[in-house]
Amino acid sequence: MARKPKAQEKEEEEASTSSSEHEAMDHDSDDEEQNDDGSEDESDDGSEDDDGSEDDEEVDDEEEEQSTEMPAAAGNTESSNFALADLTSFNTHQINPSQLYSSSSTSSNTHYTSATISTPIAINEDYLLNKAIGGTKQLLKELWKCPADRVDGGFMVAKLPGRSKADGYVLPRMLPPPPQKQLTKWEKFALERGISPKSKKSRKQFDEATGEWKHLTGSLQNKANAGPESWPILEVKKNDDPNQNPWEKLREEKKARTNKNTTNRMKNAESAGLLEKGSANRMTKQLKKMEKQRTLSREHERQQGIIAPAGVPVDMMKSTDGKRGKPSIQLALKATQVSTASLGKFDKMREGEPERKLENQSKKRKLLLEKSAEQEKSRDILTKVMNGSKEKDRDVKKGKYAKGETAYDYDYDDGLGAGSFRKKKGRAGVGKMRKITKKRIK
Amino acid sequence: MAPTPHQAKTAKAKLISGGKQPKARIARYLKTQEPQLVEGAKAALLLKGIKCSDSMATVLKDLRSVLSPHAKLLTKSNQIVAFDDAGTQSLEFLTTKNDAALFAMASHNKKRPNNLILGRTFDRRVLDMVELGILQYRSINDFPGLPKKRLGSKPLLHFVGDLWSSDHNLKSLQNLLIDFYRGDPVDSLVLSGLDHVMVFTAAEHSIGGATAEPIVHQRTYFMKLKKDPQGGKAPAPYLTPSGPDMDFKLRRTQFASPDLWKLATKQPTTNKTKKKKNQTTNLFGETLGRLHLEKQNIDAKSGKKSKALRLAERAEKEEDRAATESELQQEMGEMEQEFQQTYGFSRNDIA
Repeated sequence: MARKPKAQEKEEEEASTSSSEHEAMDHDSDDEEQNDDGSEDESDDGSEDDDGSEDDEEVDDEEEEQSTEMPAAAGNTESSNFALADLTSFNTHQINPSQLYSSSSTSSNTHYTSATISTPIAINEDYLLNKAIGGTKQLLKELWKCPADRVDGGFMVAKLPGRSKADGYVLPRMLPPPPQKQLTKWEKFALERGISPKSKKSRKQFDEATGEWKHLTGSLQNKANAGPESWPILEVKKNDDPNQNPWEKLREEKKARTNKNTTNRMKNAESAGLLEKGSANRMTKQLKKMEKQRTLSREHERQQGIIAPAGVPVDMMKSTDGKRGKPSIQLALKATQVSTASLGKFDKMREGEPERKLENQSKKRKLLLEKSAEQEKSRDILTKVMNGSKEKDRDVKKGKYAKGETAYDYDYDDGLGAGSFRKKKGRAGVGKMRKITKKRIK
Repeated sequence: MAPTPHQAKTAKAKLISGGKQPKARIARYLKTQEPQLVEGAKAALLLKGIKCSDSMATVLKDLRSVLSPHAKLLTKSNQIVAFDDAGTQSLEFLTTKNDAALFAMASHNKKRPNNLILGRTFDRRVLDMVELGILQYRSINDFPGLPKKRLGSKPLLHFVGDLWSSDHNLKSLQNLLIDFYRGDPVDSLVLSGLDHVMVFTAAEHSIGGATAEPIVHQRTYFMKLKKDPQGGKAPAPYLTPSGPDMDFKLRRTQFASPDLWKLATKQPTTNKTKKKKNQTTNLFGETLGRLHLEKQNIDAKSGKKSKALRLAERAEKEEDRAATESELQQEMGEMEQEFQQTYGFSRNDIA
């Protein structure tokens, strides 16, 4: 064989695994293989049987010289199909079972001495090896055809082709593909108007007042550049009501902002399909209801005099005549009365103590005096249980009755019940689980 | 098993509406558990069945060596009968909790000796399951002193025989084996780092006079790449046997129904590689672009006016007002004069 130009040689050297220790051996084996190649080439295009037998001889020769070498020209010329994305190749030619299951005579199976699980079937390992060599050769040839780039460190990185139908198989995913990201309402608007997104702010800002680095969000105390709202004194501005508590006002405003944010986020998530339909509206209503309750209770407390309206001196309040504290004390007493383990049932009553009442004790139930009404009610319940009701079906569909089915439910039974746990050693683990076997006579 | 869609949605609603937010570290972990556009390597869960012999335990240990770092070996035996509903549920639970998409369960009993169940999941539910009866097994330890593959290296996979395409069970098994052994799915690879080949040969053989059934011979060879003496860019492979080698036959199978398979192989709608449009390079090497402007609806969306325009408008308004004012003043003056002329005194004197 003619000497290849140095450049080509260098390329090939890079392609093979570089290990200087085998350098000497490489040269030796190359020479020998060149000699052997000459004799092999003529008979290479023969039938498979010929290949096999000749390869055996080849292997013998090689074995004697080196321990880890194998014939270079061995392997069949059966063409394979390739799926390079997964480094896979398929040799769809028929196998010769008689060859495969013949007992191997040569000493090439020196490696196959011990086996963890043995079988009586005789397998010709050389046959398998030859098929492997042939297939691997072709696969490597295909792989080296892929375009390669040089990367830092001197490595050649080959770009593997993508997957295609021609591969012959498709591998399933782990999870279904994620839903496409929907644009939120603001993002749509920004796209339309051509508003570029805001530049990112750093996590902490230097607070001028305290001279510390603080977060941008947080309570008025811990916020950076909190402004006049965080000071102990707040001025009454032109449009403000002097009788309103300004901190209360600020808190209400903040609550309104957060509620708006919540509802908007929920609306966006709902339109993206991440939430149940109608959940955003329900949340809005819930928040409004809570706000209403809050204002009502605040008014009620203010009227009762529990909370003094800010900005007005206590003695000037007309409504309570100086009894501002009493209603609050009464409420406190009411709470304390039932704050024991037995809910105040067995505690000694003090002088002048009002009666102890635990709220929400009695569940209001409609008194059905007529027999027919009661019967009808029972019958309704029975039909619902037997025939199913629309509400129950709806809930089942939603997954409300899926308790115990998922690992996220507390009562999940994964089949590895408590009964399966037992100590392996000692008589403590012996229970009903022990298999009853015949006792050996010692 | 994962939370039902309803449970997931209610949890999300609770989170958005100010529920307890998870810690940042946990949030990052949860994000990795969400469905990804491009998926990474599948992790394998290796576990023991009801009773496992020592040799089957070595099978699992070798699997762990081959598949690591994407393999997790559980040491305790599990009371799982895989092909039962309860067993399937247990497997789904264990694979979900251990974040594994593949599983291998080894067991040994008189009826099914040297049993290995390979399986994979989709969407946290079992997709395929194959029960293999191992006839011969050579572990990595049965090849002492010989070179072995590196940790985490990708194998070359080679399937030999026409049975892989003719037998439908073997076809599905082939898919499962590729999924099991391929490792990290990558776009590019340093080819000099390839160091082992896995060859799966399927042949029909009658064991002990029974009817011929397909047997699969799995062989793993350590591969050394050397420059090809016959020339050519590609190197010549030098294969030496390294473990693990396995000969097995198929026992029971439970492959995915066509509907489920279709769902599982559904790929995300990716944007195809777009050709660069509206760009041309001329002879001089200059790249010219082409702009296509849409019809701009000026009337609908009005933008913010510039400061100068606003000031100009304001000034105009002022001017107009001043002009009208001066006109009015003039008129008033004229009227006054007329009044004076006709009546002899001015209007101001009356009021």
